[in-house]
Amino acid sequence: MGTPGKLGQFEQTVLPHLDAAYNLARWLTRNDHDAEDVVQEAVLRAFRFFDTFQGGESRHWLLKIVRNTFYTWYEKNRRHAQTEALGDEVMDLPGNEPGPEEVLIKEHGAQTVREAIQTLPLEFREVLLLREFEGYSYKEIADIVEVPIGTVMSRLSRARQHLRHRLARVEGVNT
Amino acid sequence: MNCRELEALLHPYLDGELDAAQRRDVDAHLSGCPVCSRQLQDFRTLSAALKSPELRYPAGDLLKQRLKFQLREAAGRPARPRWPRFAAAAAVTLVALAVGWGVQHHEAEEQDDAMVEAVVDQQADAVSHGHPTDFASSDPAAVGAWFKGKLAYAPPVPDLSAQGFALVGARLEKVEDQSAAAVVYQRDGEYLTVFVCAATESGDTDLDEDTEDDYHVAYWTQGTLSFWVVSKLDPKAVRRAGEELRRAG
Repeated sequence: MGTPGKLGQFEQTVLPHLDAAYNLARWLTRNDHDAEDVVQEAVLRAFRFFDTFQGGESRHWLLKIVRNTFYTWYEKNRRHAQTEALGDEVMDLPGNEPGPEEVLIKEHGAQTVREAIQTLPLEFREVLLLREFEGYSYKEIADIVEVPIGTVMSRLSRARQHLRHRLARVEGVNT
Repeated sequence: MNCRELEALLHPYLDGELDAAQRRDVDAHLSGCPVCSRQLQDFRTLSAALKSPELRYPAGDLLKQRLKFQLREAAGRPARPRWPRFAAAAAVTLVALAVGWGVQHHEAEEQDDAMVEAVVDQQADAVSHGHPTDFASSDPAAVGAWFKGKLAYAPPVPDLSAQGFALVGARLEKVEDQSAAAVVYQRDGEYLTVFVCAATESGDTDLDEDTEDDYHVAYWTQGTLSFWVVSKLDPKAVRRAGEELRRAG
């Protein structure tokens, strides 16, 4: 059969986004082994459904499949249940001392920032990743995550507030 | 606009999601409110920090290789019986890599696939050029004698007439850069060709099967030789012929 057209086309269109796919899966599963399983399954699934790909943004298409594959996997593997919840973050309203965030983030190593992101509950983490890592608009994120745009907005805002407080708290403990 | 109203628009503002009128409102508030300005600055810094490449996890080379291989498998042979076995082998590969064994195992699978493709191509070429044999004979002894001095080994030429295969003759082939014997039989107007070449790794293996285009291939290694039975006959017939040859060998 040689290299059929479908395979060649798939490799050209979809495989360049493998790093983005892995990055998303890695942040969702929080470990390498499960991330590899999810990406492998997602890419093979994408290949099977490649005929239904209508053209357009292939990275968006692939990441949507990665996310869906992750949730299917996640439902099946309850032992990996991620149980974090967001606490009620203090809102930064006038009257609250604004934290010196600029200094904080520069002083924190990548590892601390990484850990802070990992503590975000799934639904907040994925919205943050799609926005900050992939640069997607609220509308695109709403499409991938299948929630209204307003929900994307509020999750993103809460995720960032959580990070800001968490990084500030770490700083407070260290000094 | 007060500070609480601004709070709701701060992130869409930062992310460029507001229209011009909303942006003007936010700008107007920010210019007169150092607390909100400071907050915006913090989130801007946070957002920039999150874009650091250091926080990204790139896909590993091993995963990329494995995917390419699996995609080729999925593309060429959708209903492939060896698929589950490969999935298990892939899992083993990851673990075994540390002791340097996994890669070889993976390579062996790939080599088999390359061989299957090669023998099927050779057979299809020979038939389409009307040249199934270099030497035509129905006498096993004569065919065996014809190979003498042409190869470093003596390919077995068994009589398969009891299984309904009539010996037609033989030819010499180059398969994956090495010389191979092709012993040609016929049944019901279809060729069944047995490629014999020096095994890359000697030993005895179980019979394995594959399908490429319209051809079925049964293959195994016996001692220092590897055998590849190629035919358009149905898979069961090809497997039976392979089993018979293996017993005879």
